[in-house]
Amino acid sequence: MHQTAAYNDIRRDLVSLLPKVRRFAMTLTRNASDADDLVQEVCERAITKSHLWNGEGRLESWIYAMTRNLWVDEVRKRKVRSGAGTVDAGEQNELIVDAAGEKAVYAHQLNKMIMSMPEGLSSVFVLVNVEGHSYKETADILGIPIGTVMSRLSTARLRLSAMVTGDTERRA
Amino acid sequence: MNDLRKQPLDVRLSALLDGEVQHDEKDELERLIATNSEARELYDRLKRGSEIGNIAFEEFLKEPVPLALVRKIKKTEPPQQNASRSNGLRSHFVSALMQPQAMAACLALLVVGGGIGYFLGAGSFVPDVPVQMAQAPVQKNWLDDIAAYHRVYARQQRHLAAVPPSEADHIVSWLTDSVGVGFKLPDLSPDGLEFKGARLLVAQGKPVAQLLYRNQENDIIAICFMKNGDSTDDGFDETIKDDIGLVSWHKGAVAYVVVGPSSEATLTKIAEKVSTQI
Repeated sequence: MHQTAAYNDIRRDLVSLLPKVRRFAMTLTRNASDADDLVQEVCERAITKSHLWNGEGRLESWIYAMTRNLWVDEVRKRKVRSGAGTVDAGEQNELIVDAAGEKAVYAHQLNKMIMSMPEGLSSVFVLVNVEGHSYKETADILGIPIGTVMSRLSTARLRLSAMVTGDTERRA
Repeated sequence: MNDLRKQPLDVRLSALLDGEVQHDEKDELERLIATNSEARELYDRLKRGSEIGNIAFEEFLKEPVPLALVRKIKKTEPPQQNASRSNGLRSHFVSALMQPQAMAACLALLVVGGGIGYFLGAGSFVPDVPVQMAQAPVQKNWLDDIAAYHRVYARQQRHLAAVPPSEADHIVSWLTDSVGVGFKLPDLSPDGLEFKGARLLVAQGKPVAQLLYRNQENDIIAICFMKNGDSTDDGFDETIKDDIGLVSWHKGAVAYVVVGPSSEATLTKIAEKVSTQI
């Protein structure tokens, strides 16, 4: 019975990490409903595979990598079902901005602004800029080369800066 | 560290912001920023993007996490960790049986057992074995009562407790007499839980002591205990009843439970601490 308490640890850690995992999932899915479904699946998988977690490094890195892998699978399935799907940021020649991204946004609309960024950019930005993962850790989590991490990060920063600058200019 | 000399300037300056450039390159880039206005302007834009993004993503953390998600996680059963161990034992047992001496012993037991069975069967001997009914777990029933009480009392502001925390000595003597269980008031202040007083409840027709604490999120966490006929010790068992989470255990002839919101991630940790202090 004492094992219950030990097992609770990963569940407890997962509950504590939920806001961050959910935020990371949002950068992949870019909508709350898909993000919640993804997080639920990730957490169930993390608990059932908790014996595989070796306790080294950051738990969130393991969870994030699992989140990203599950999302890649899901996107693949959707492509098969619909014949189309999300294009990875690394495969795009130019950045896609949806209608929401075209509109100027104010400080309280920053979330929407972030959601208008391609998946690959916001995920890299969150991992490096917001959560302080190294380029190597980020590359491992997202399964991309370090060079891609670097170029996406720079693009994300310039894009975020331009969004607000553009907004300020429009308001002036 | 990465050698970035072949990368575009914006990528190199971005890496400078993250401290992911080699020492000599760092000096070179800093000199460039100091002397070249275009480089400085680009660096400022990157920095601004960094700051804006940080603010935006911090906002995400303020969004409430769906309670259903938290419950789902807590209800997900982990794998049986001892499966591989039992497999190991089984294979060891099987290999031991394959030893010649063991096989001979099994054969002898089979002959002797078969003979006894034949004689007993011939005499129509039917052993009168009493059927032992498993006793229904009392714990689950009293937990229903505790969860129901918690839903009501946790919402109380002015009348949360029957006896205030200032009368700690009285609480201990009163509840010890009423419930028949000696205890000490656990100090959970290092975990951010402030003692708010006590109540006497009734669950399954028995008196139950309830010690009430408030955490930093303003949620009520309670410790309840009652005298229980069984004197079995067991480990922690987590149960979720809709919005209420309960971590229960037995020690000696006493049943304990820590109860709080099911979204509270630290109930088991609190229960572990209480079990050592109370």
